[in-house]
Amino acid sequence: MKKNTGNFQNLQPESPRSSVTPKKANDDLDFKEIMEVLGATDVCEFEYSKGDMHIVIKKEPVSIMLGEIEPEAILGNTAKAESAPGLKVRHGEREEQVDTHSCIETIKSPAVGTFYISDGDILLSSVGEKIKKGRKIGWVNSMGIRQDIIADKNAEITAILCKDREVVEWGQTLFEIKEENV
Amino acid sequence: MFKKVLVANRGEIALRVIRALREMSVKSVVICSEADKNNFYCGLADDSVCVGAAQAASSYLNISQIISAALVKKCDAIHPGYGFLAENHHFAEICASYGINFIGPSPETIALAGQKAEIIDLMKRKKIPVVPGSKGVVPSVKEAKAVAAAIKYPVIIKATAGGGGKGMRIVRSEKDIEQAFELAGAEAKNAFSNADLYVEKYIEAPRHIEIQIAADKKGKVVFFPERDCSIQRNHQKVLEESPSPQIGPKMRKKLGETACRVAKLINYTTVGTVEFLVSKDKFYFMEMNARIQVEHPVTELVSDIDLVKLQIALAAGEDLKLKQDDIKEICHSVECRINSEDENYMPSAGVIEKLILPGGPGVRVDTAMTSGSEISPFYDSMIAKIITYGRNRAEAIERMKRALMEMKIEGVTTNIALHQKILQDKNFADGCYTTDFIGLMK
Repeated sequence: MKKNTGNFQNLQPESPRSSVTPKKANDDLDFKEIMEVLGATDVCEFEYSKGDMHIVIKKEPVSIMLGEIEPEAILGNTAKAESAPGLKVRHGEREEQVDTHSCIETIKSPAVGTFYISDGDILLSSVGEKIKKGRKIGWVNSMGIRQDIIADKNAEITAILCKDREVVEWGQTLFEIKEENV
Repeated sequence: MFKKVLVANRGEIALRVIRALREMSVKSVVICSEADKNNFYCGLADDSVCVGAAQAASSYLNISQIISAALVKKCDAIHPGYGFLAENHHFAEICASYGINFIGPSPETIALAGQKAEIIDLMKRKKIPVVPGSKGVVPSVKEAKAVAAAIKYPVIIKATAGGGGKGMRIVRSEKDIEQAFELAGAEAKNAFSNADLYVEKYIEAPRHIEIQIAADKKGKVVFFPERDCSIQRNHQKVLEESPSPQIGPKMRKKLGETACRVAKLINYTTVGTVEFLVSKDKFYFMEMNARIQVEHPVTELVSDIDLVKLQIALAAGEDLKLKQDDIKEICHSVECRINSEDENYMPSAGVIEKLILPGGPGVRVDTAMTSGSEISPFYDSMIAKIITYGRNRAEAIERMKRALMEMKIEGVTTNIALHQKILQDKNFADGCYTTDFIGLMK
């Protein structure tokens, strides 16, 4: 093989808390079979070598990212921000303290795939709903692998920006949330 | 014909493929990284999809996300462009396993073309002239010394997985071979994750001549007028022209026929390039490039055949309708690769504050840059390919001089001055140059 073999990042586990389980596939597995096997398990880390091909798949928890919202909109009332505890936001070279009560954050898609807001008949989240850290609020199916979107903090969902079963790209904003101190 | 093609590349080659697909009435979906999302060419495709972060490993080399993009966008084929995954046989194999057509040769052919030691060995067995050297991989300095003693110095140590001058060392005497072997191996391991090396006779001052071929799935192969790619710096092509000013009809026919034989021997399909070293009246097979190449426009202008459209049609299973006699040299063409680079010729990142492109008779510009575009440190630093053509070599060169004079780039430093120096050189004007031309240029 003369060039890079590519990588397989951004794959999320059934549960981001699953233990890291390095696995070796048998030599006859091809890429499609590997993806099918991974889709049906909660394996978090996977390493596979065959001839000159070496694949490493690491499933990392979805992170809630600040972004896309104008910094001014995030910062809100600066007088309040100065005294507010908690979240820090980078604003160019500066780091500023922000009012966590009025801070809107975004949750982005970890992969190219199809977004789901429901699990069968069960709706996973809705606008205005208050969610607790660790709650599954949606998922993205990328090549048959389910990548759950898990809240990493207590928050209120202020907007859901994609429809159920909508095709999403990597980094596309799926949710806007407002952090809550519960 | 395909209905919708995923363009799995970026920049000028992505735009080149989008344009070909548009003219063929085939829908296009272009992938992009987060850094390229707002580039204008993404808007020229029918659809675009962001597949990852700016780092190529997260986006343009991220096979799972690229395949996922093809599946959710319902593409029936992927065009890999050049670089990134274009010659990754695993990627071609994975495309096939998902029922997606890979626009290029078969995975087996890509794998064979990529293993330089193996393909050289095959050519030797089939009596195609190759540069004398080791039989396959040389595992130790001791064996490298034995090969060098047999074929005589100077020799060149090359990485089997190499390309672009990486993992390559010229050795002129036995005292230098140990260090060169170690350095080439370390560089190859670092660049290609494969430290395998081979040794061959170093041909002094050759011409680097390549032959574009096209082949269908029934085994029909045709060749195009040669490209002379001898103007190189650090084994990287800088300026190309077609036809070569120093190749006569007899050598042209020999190279063309050999290139077709090579393609047939490895069951090559779609378009590809066979590279040769030519020294006086001798020629040696160097390698087969299993992709569309950066310099393909010179051949398009000289032959008046759209190679990207031909590549897509052949990948879709169409028969090669061209006959060898249909391919004529209708003009002379020159291409200058305009790169963003600093005074030490190193790639240089930055924002193009102002870009004025040349035009007028006989000028073609392939670029995905505009004023305000960023030369990202994550990707190659090519700004544009300026390609000129004329009724003869002198006219094509004069048009290139004029085009480079018209071109204005502010915000980043470029290699335009180097191109102007080459074009003014008497030896270049006379067509007397070899691969050491830039090093010897005054």
